[in-house]
Amino acid sequence: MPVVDLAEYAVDRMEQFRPAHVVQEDAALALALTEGDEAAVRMLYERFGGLVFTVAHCMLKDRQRAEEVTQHVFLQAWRNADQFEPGRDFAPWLATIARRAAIDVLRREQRRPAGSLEVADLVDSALVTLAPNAEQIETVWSVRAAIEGLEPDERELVKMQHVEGHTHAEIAERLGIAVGTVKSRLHRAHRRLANRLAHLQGPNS
Amino acid sequence: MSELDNADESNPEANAEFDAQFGALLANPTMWDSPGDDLSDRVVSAISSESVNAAATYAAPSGSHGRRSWVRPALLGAAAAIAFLFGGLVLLSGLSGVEDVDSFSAELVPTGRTDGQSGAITVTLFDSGLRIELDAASLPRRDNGSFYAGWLTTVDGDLFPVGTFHDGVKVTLWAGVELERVEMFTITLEAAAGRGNEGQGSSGEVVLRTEINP
Repeated sequence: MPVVDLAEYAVDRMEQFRPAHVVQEDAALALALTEGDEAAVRMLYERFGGLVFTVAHCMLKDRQRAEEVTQHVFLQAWRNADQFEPGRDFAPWLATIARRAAIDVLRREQRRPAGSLEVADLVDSALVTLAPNAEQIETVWSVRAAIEGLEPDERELVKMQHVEGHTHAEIAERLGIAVGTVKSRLHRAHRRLANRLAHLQGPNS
Repeated sequence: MSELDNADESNPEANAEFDAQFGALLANPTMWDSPGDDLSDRVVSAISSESVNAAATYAAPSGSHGRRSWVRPALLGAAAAIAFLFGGLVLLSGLSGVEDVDSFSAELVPTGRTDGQSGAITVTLFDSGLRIELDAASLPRRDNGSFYAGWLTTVDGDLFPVGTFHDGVKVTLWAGVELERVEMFTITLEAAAGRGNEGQGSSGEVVLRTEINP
């Protein structure tokens, strides 16, 4: 999918989950942003900072550069706030800026003087030749948003199970709660995640 | 409707279905990582710095129309003062017979890693290279193995060290690099690498930076 199609594609995917009050908040936020309101910048960052950072981090495989790209994305958003269409969703707009900024970094990294591949770090972004496509970016964005939408206790349990690989019994022991409680909270969290990520499933799943 | 919707928490089939669909995505640690706590302040600081420095150093952002009414007069006033000062310096330079050389100045923008830092550089072109005069008195002095380093980054991504210093008062740095290749000047906070290490590289802890737009 061409890069230029990302915004329309992502709008279609993401906007169906936006309640009316969120649309109104976004419109007010866009207006405040064009007025140069510092509080609006902070609010925009609080809502989307983690999402933008995750997209950049997944593309660049480097935490520091991902932070630099995140900062750049919000600077660009502020510079171009008057181009934001009221009523639209910030998410795909910021995702597009983030993707392009990360691609710029990847291209610059690839122009660095060549060194020996034997000593190159395996996560060196200069070794990355293909930037993720729009669908992959939307997947990353959606998963991160779904994670942020969990209750803190649910988020902790899901992370312990899926990232750290702990069993229900191990989680229960570590947190000092009953195994049944772990199961019920994880089940609730999985349902939330499955509902929020349903659009990522293929037509046959 | 997925099997998960109807299942209770002990249903292994529902759990397997969930794992098959989303397990790999959720297992990616990058999905869970968050930016540093100070990034919010750095974002706001960068935007604030750009809005203040825009008239003096760079073109104004395209989204700047309609900003608060006091900003534009303040920036115009600052620009006028700088223009007057610059004109005076040029006049004095001509009267005193100082050699006419190519030079320009740029405001340094804080990255938010340290509080309240600012400064400026004046870059002068010589046949031998670039002379960079740094005025950043607000940088706190660093001693005992801690110091600052200046760097130029080129459009090719090459990093050129231009010197190290303890504080930002009357610092003169030199670089053997063509100006047209340079796109960024940065100051990093460094710690001595110590004996046995293979050379001192950049820490990446940028405290001040500016784009080079001659």
